[in-house]
Amino acid sequence: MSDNQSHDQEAGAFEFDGSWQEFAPIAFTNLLLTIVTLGIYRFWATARTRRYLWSRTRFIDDRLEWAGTGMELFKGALMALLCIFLPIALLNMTAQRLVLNGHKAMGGVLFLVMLIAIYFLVGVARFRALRYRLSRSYWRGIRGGSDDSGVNYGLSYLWKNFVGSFALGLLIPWSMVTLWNERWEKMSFGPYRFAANGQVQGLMKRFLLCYLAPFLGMAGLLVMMIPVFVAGGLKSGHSNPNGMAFFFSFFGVLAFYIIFGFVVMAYYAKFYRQMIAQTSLHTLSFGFSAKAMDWIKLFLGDFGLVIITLGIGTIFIPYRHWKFQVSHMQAYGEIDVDDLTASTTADVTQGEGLLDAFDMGAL
Amino acid sequence: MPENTGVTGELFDGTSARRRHVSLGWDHAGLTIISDGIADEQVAWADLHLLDTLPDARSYGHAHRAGWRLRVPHDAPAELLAQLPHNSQMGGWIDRLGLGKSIVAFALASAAVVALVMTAPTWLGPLVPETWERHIGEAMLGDLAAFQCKTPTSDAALQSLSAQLDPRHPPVQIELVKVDMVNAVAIPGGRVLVFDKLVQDAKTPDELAGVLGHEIGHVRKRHVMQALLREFGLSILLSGANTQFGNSLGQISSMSYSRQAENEADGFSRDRLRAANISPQATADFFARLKKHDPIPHNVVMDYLASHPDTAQREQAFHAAVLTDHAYQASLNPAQFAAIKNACAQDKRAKQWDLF
Repeated sequence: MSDNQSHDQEAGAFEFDGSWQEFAPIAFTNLLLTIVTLGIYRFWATARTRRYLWSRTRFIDDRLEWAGTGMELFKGALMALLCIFLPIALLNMTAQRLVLNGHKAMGGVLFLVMLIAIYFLVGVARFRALRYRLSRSYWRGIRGGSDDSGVNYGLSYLWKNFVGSFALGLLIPWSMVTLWNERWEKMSFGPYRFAANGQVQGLMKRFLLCYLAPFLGMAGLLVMMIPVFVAGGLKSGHSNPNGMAFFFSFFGVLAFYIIFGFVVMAYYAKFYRQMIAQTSLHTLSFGFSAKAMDWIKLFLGDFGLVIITLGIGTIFIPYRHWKFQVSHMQAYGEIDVDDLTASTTADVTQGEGLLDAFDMGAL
Repeated sequence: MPENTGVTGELFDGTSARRRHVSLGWDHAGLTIISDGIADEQVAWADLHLLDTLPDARSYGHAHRAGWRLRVPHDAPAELLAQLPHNSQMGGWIDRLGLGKSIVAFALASAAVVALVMTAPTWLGPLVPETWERHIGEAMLGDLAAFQCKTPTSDAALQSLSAQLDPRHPPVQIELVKVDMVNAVAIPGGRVLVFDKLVQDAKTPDELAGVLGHEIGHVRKRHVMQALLREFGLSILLSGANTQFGNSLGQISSMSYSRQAENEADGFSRDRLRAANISPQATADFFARLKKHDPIPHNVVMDYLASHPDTAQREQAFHAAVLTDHAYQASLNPAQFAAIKNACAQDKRAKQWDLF
């Protein structure tokens, strides 16, 4: 059964064996080249970064491979600029002109049409970015992909996000879950389609906590205020109203962000764990082990890294996030490598230009 | 069988995920894949390309077979590794030129591009035909007639002011618009909009002449086109560094002039006032009043004050241009000035233009 790759144990299906010392020369030359080319090299920089990260990721007994190129990312961005953003900019100009000329209603309608179009395109962009990434990801000479253009997904993205905002946003988890399913069910790897049966059940409790966060933040602030009141009481007569106001607003905002961040992370960590556990590929099922605390540590780590290095550490963030992703990813089940045959999905010719242009990250 | 054999590698053929342990042979023609002692595939050197250098092996792809992957261990004979293609790491040009040289070349090219974008508008602006600028102006701003205050006498008075200041043909089109802001703007297409609030604020027709002279200066010196080009060039340049393409064209509408252009327009205004024998003192008084009202300009788009030189300095410059013991003439008679002042009240058709 040497060719039947089985993975029933929890640990080890995915493993990352790169090191930041090995990545550093790539990151620094990317930064340098990006600066001297006024940013244009960033497409090639992305391709180099991914080639490194993918190649240092082992799935069962072989490495992943990133086969995308900088040139196709560049072409994708150029196409997005010409076919999407130029028309949107012209539409925007026309709408502004209408408002300027006193045709406010017509200008407003045009703005609305533009917003709807952008929302739809963001949906299409997310779909196509995932499709592109899968189609450039190889394992043992086999790649993934999708034959869907993402237009239907774009429409779903539009109306589900709209409906999601109903009832004070209580339907947001539903829209997130169904969109996840819709996106992944159109994707395949080799001859197999992904199956996504994500459920909303189990997410609502944490989602509702997000609504409580502002109140929790307020309570947290009051608790933090106690020492200030005590100190103020001791030094009565020397109180500085400006200093107090600054202290209140600074810690108020800080407390709010910390508590809200924690609560949102708690929801998102659960969402991500649950979605991955409910997504499968033929005989393989997956799992993701990162808890809310792990995500928070990741982001605090990012923050610290960027601050301490005065911003230069930003170039290591893709590395950190990929490592986080891979080291928490699990897979169970068995693959028959003889049956894992070449993908028949169309070979996409352009990179994720649209998504890139909307400035949105992966997954 | 090829001349050299004896190296083992791993092969994925792209049709399934099965890994095959193969022997490799090679000669001048190319690589031979030997499976179970049988030579079953010949690959020309030119069809191979290096995909990546992995910790344990080098990974090669095939030009015509998607997913075909050959792994050759790092300890393969040097003669074989020398024959195999070398890495493309950073992108074709950079690999060929070398990192150091590439960085220097790119930096020089980028500096040239930046220099071009910064300087080109100044010489390119005046070369753009005025008709093109008019089309751009119409596309951006459309028809503003609905907001224009127009009476036969006010129109004649504005035309008289414009003709005294700037005898060139075709004349700069001056339009009085119903906007509640002390401001006047030069817009693409050789037009100057005077906002009614400015007219209401004006104490004498001469200060109106000073402000108009300034705006006509922007038109005649092609500052409007220069600003448009600069804005456009910068947005293209920034779109390389920034991924947000969306805003770039929209920014055109919120253009501003360089300080140098403002000084030029002020200089133009003083020259024209002198030529028309109108005293610059009224304009100096206008700046003195502005300074008192509003020492720090508000952050308002298209504000006459924004990006302008220091108001006190401008007051000083206009004051210094006054000739002592010189008989200036009034730019407009009281009836003409009153016609401009009353235009918006009399023209019932004019709509209030709410810019913000």
